[in-house]
Amino acid sequence: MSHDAIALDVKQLSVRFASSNGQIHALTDVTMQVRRGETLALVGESGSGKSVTSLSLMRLLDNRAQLAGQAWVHADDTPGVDLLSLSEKQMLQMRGNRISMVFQEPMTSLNPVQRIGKQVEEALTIHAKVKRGETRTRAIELLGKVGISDPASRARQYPHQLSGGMRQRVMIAIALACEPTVLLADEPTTALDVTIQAQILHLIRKLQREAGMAVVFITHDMGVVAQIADRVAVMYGGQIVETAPTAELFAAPKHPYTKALLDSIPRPAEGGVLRGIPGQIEAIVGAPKGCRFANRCPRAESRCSIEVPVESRVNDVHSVRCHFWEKS
Amino acid sequence: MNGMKAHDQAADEAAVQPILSFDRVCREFPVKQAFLQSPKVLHALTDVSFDVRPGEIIGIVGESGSGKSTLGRLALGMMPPTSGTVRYQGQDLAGLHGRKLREVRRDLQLIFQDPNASLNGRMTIEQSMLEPFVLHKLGNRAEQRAAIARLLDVVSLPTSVLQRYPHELSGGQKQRVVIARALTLSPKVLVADEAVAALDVSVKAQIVNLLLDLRQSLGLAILFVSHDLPIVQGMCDRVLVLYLGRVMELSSRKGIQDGGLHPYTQALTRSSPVPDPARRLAAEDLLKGEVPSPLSPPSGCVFHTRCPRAMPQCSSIVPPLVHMPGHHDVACLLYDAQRAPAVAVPLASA
Repeated sequence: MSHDAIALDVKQLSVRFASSNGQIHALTDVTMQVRRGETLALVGESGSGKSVTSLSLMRLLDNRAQLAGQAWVHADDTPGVDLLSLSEKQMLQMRGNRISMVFQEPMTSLNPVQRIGKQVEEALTIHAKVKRGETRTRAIELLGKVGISDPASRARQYPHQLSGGMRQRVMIAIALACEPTVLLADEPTTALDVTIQAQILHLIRKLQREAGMAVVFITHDMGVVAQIADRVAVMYGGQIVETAPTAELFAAPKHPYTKALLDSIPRPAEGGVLRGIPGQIEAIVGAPKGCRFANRCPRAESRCSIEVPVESRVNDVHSVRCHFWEKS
Repeated sequence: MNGMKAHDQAADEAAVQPILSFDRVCREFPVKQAFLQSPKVLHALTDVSFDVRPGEIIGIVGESGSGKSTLGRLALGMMPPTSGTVRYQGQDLAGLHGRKLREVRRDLQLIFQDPNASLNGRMTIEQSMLEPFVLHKLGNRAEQRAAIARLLDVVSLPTSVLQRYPHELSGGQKQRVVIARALTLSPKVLVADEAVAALDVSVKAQIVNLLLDLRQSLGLAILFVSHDLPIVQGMCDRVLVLYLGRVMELSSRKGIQDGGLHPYTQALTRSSPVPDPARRLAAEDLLKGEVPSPLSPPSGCVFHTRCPRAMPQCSSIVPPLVHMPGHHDVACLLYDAQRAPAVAVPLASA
């Protein structure tokens, strides 16, 4: 398969939850494509819907969540599958195999009473990717590949004997055991120290290059985005409000929220007072009536709260949901 | 060395008495081992000295296990040092007891990372904010109410939050409540332990600005404990960099913004993700390995096992703090004229 073939194709993904206050529109019309070997960063603050996006692609949301839309995964040797249309049984075949996920907190993702080598082996045996009797060698090989020194003896250790950075490496080894087409990484470095974060970011980039995976990297940190992403999708209130290649997004953001987000990054050279965004994210109860950002937007006009902005194309690779993007 | 210090800093040190001072402070914790094994000692903080002047914001930076939270606890007199002294306005905190200690504690306040853990979920915001008044038996009901309204105004919250419960507020609002409550007793020193780490970027900026305002209007000294170097570089007057419980560097904001002198500070600066896609971290900038266990810290300079510029003598000599020009202290043999093999040249900042 050529390197620029589309691996993940999400079309109009919407997720709703019923609550006592009315329907919560956690995601509204999320559309995105990720190519092989490409990293798309999903950026946003708490409540923007970035984690709901990854959980709905993994089909890990509660039964009460109502999903709509399509999410196609295309691998070269098999026909594409729409994850959202699969039964739970079929989905079991996909998780870890076609689409895999790394979470923020490795301690809660690993089994505390099982040796880490066994946990990697489990991922291999479930999908019968490796002949029995070879799983152990392959697990140790994987642990070595994610930068764990002396993997043969480390494989016999339990999660509590490892540091946070090492545990996250184990999680990555498990996620990549079956060479998935798509990797979802949900804030995988947020709980780590900066020097370890730098190592893990570097590792994910290296492994991705080798395997040609499509990576969706979820983060709230624009610094991490700049370090790892090829393209960025900025989320706010359950919608993607702007998508662009990383360099273009940082150099010429069009959406007022993206601009505000970039402005609130501490830049040491400038010093002193930071610019925050006044107000806070609005509850997403009910279908959007206007722009979700209107109540915090510095340039909102009356139109913004009554008319939902459609996606406008800035150019071939850059799109934005704002009524007034051309004027900014 | 003392001569150099006198030359450098005598003028302003004489002018302003430090409000808080650490003098060769060590803090150790015994750690129980398995049956029949002798207990080990965790060296949380070793030989830390620095002063905080009134109205000054000092950043305390380090990774997990650097001792930065222990330092915050010591500054509040919540635990005594194993050796050395922590002084508040000249009095040894470890020597205070009973009423005297309670009085001093009014002046020293703490805010934590997670506002959810700091507020009782079953109390309204008003009940939570009344606690310090009750504990210290201050004012009558009307005075308390007036004081609370004033405090909410300081942190820009409407009085309507008073009747609400913590779960009805956003993370940023809760952290404002926690800050307002910490200000109730008009403290002179505020220890902010990762106070903005759990907040969204846009809210983080609001809280940082609030702390800067408070310093301005109330003359608060703030110990800003954080792992986030970019934020610290933006808001602190001086920065103390800790690694495995030892001071690596104590510098003005300018010195840290220029990348710092110590190889650890430099590595920390390079590892912090830069919000610029054109400046990606290169493989050679990565620090090797992980932070060693504080139960058995490396000999000599504790950083030598990961240091890209380590020399043979680094594993045997504990580097003393060397005073560099511009109120800049660094504990590294590269800058120690007597022990360094060559003239030290600071690395160009990343």
